[in-house]
Amino acid sequence: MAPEFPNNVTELLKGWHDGDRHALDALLPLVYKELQRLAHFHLRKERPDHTLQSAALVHEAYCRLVGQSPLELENRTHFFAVAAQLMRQILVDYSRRHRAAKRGAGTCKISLDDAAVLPQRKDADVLAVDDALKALAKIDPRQSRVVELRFFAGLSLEEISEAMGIAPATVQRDWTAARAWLHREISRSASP
Amino acid sequence: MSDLQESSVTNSERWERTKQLLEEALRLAPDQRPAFLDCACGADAELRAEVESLVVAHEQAGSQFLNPAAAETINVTVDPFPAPLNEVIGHYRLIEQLGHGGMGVVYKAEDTRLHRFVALKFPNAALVGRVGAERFRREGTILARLTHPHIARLIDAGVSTLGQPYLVLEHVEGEHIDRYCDARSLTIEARLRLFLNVLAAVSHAHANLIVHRDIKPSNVLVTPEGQVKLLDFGIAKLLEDDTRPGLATVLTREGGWVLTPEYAAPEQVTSGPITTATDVYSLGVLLYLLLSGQHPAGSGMHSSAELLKALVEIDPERLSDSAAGKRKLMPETTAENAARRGTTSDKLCRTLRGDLDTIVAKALKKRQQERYVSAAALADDLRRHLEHLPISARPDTLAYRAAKFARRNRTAVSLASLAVVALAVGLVGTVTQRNRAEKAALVASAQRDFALRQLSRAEAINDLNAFLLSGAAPSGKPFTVGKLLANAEHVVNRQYGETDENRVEMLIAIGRQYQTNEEDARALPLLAKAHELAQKTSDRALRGKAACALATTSAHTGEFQRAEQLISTALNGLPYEPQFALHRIFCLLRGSEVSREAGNVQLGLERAQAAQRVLGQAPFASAAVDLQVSMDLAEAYRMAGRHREANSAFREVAAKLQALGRDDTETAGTVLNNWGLVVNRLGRQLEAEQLFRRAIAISRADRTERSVAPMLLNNLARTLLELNRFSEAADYAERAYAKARQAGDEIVMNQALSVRFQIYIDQGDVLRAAQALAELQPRWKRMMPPGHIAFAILPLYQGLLAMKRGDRETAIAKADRAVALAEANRENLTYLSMAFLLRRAEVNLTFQRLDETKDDAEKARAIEQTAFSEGPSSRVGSAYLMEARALRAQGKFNEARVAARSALEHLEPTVGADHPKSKLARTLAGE
Repeated sequence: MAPEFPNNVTELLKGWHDGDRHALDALLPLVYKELQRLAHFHLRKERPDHTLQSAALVHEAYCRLVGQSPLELENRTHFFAVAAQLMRQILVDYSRRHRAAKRGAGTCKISLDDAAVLPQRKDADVLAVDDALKALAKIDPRQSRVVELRFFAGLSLEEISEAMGIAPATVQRDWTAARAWLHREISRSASP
Repeated sequence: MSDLQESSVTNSERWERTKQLLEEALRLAPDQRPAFLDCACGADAELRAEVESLVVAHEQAGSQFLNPAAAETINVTVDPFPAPLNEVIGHYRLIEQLGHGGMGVVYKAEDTRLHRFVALKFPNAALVGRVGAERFRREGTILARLTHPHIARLIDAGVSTLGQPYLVLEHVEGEHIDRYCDARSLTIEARLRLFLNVLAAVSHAHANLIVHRDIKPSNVLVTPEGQVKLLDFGIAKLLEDDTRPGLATVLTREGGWVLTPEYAAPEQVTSGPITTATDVYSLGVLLYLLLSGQHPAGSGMHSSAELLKALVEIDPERLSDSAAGKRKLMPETTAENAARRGTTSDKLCRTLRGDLDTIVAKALKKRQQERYVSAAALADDLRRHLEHLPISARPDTLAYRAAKFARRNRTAVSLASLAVVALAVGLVGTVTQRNRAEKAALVASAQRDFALRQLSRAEAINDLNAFLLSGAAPSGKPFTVGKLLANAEHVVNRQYGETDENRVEMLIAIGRQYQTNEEDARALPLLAKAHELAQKTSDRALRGKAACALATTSAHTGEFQRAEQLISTALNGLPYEPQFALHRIFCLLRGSEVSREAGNVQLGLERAQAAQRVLGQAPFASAAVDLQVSMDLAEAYRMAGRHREANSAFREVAAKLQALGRDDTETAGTVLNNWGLVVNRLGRQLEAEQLFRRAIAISRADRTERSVAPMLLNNLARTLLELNRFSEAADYAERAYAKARQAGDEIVMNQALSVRFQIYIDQGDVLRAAQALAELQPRWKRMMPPGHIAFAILPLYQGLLAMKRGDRETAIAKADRAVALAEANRENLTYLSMAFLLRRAEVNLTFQRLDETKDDAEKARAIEQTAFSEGPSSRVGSAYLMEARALRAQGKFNEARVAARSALEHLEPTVGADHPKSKLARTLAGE
């Protein structure tokens, strides 16, 4: 299936970069729609273990929307900055809805494959991460952006450094501290 | 989560300080941290507590927490299929979900036409996506023909209106076989008889050339009536990725486990060939489990990684020892297992000891060749055991090893007698062939007999030589040259009498053997001696032959002038008469090799073609000589850049090798490698991959893994890179590099670095690409003469690196310089220009220089189409794709579609429909 307006997205990103405020307003729904479509598709059908690699989705959305006319670096990082925020929102919405749906839902039946063999996962609950990130944003907004870009959009530390215009060493420090802080907060709230 | 605790640190300056201290503390060894914090925090206990708790959190978080690269990052718990119950798919109405797992979701459904229950399986979309709906339907039909009372039938396969493929299977109500046996405390004998039903089902499928690939307890059900039913026959194959046979049966790139590794055979993990012996292994695991209650890898929980390691490396514990709990089991478990088999642990151990130990061990051999060939063979032995007859499998005892040793010795003995027979048969064979050849009748009999004598002598010597080198060193001790020659001379003197002619032939034969082994230093003294002795004889043919044999070694050691002189003198000295045909061919082939070695590819080709003409007029027919001419001709075409002709010539050579039963020799490996290079150049990477893999398999089978040439590994790496299979490509390129480095082969090291650079660039791994280039650049500068094409490649690579870094100016300037240098290099003009233009088009497209992109792509395509390709070529396809992308970006949608369609025609057959380029072309073509 061909993406609908590939060149349009490119244009909008350029426009936004050049200071056109309306460009962002037009861009957001396009990216949001694509991300949501992809997430929906993956969650419904593709992942055998019902997990989602948000970073992979963001990259996939990028390829579908602008992949055929690669962007210059600045516009590219802008895209990821936007997409990371939207991805976070989509995941949170999903988790909320399914948490609600799960209450009172039927139980799982026989599993065809012996689940025992699968490696034990230590997943972070997306809602927990979201809540903790909100708390972190109050203390250090920059740090919460770093986590968003790394975790939800899968950018490397170098790319984050370029996107945010801060030194790589600072990004590294922010990331290390944020991970430790988030892990502590999430563990605390998980064990009453 | 709303009750998140207020953090103790809210002040932003304090938080900055905390972050800094955390970073510094983490840099220190754990035991140094308290002292550091004492000093850094002073009296601020709150700060210290904060940092300490974060250090703890950091350790607990490990590397996987919030790691976007980890496979499972966020667990969004969603039911995969919000049960579309009562939905009708085809003519099946869904009733209830029976289960779901890595392979997909299964529903109980009603066949609305036949009013019976069926199991409707939706394989995971991620798996099916790579297979294609068409193949899914086609293979589904084949499987549907598999009918056996113990196999749950595949009734139907189709694709729903929503595009979701599905399988319809016979619905079976039953228990997993292991649970069935345990619940009824079946004895060992009862278990074996039940298991024979499983084997009957698998044998039936094997007889129809269908391998199950996923035999495990949950796929072997027993109905309440005691009927065995195997599920999911051939479905793993149905879901296998066309382009990566074998691999997808156990792993997929992003989907995690598809099959349980617990029952997989080693070759399913190592991507080896899948055969009926693969099922034998899984059956072995199942039998082990049914008999002992244990998994062959031992008890306890295993991680996938541990299981995989055990699967490939560790031999399982003996069945009876496992049942006796020798290694890990608690006594209670052992007793329980025995009780479930209606016996005591002592008796169980005794029942299993002996035959059953041996049978299970044979089914579980790591090497396919050592296992039972099929389920039927395994069944035979089990039946013999039940009837107390001797079984076919042999335990690995000393007696067995002694038997194997005797067998090896017999091989050596028979080889010796073969060599003697060959001497006689060789002569008879050629005479018969001569009688058949009409043209031979036209030649004067004197000439013909002379030529025949020469030929039979040459062939006899050849056989003798092969015998001396391969069969005469039974202890594996290497022969010294002196000993070898002494042996050879001894044999020759006894058989032919002592003449200089025979000694010369002998020396040439052994010298040629060394040349083939690329040991020119050893060949040189022998061939020089042969040349010297030959000059003293009156035999013109022998003089020519000795000179030409020596010429090859001279060329190998860089003495091109001397080599050329020896060749032309020899050719001039050989009269153009039929009786000298054999020696003229020999000299022309050596001459072709010398010219190619010296860089005169045109003369090299002419000489090989001349040899072919002489052979066509020769008064004899010899498959061996014919093969030699064909091989040199194919190689000469390749070196001259005549890839179309080279391709058909290599195909012919391969057929001849096979006809002569030499298709697993080292020569065949070399031929396959060079053929692979040609096919790759023609832009048919999938085909090239197969040729390289066959070449690698041959050199592996010959001796050890170590004997695979690094060049060959690198050739495969380059092809895999072009197939977009980066991690495999990187693996081979890195191995090629390591091996070349170990062998001190600087040229292959450079080539491997070059391939690695391109892999990293195409992967977008700028850091490693830069590292590879930084290593490559000084090496080239040190080794290559000025004006070498490497100095055009360097700016190209720098340009690509700049492109990935987003540095527009540098990228364009460097790419322009590279193309200019390539175009100035007359010798390699066409190929390099084409490759460089394609890469520059990539740079131009990245920076939206659309007209330039189009120009480059069109030019590259024109070169490729006129100079090289026949039929579809990925290089032509790539050029078309570039054009399509540029046209599309310019808003010329119709033209873009047309170009994309052409791209698709060239890409799909050469690099596969799943290659990203094919996919992109399909999208752009609007298909």
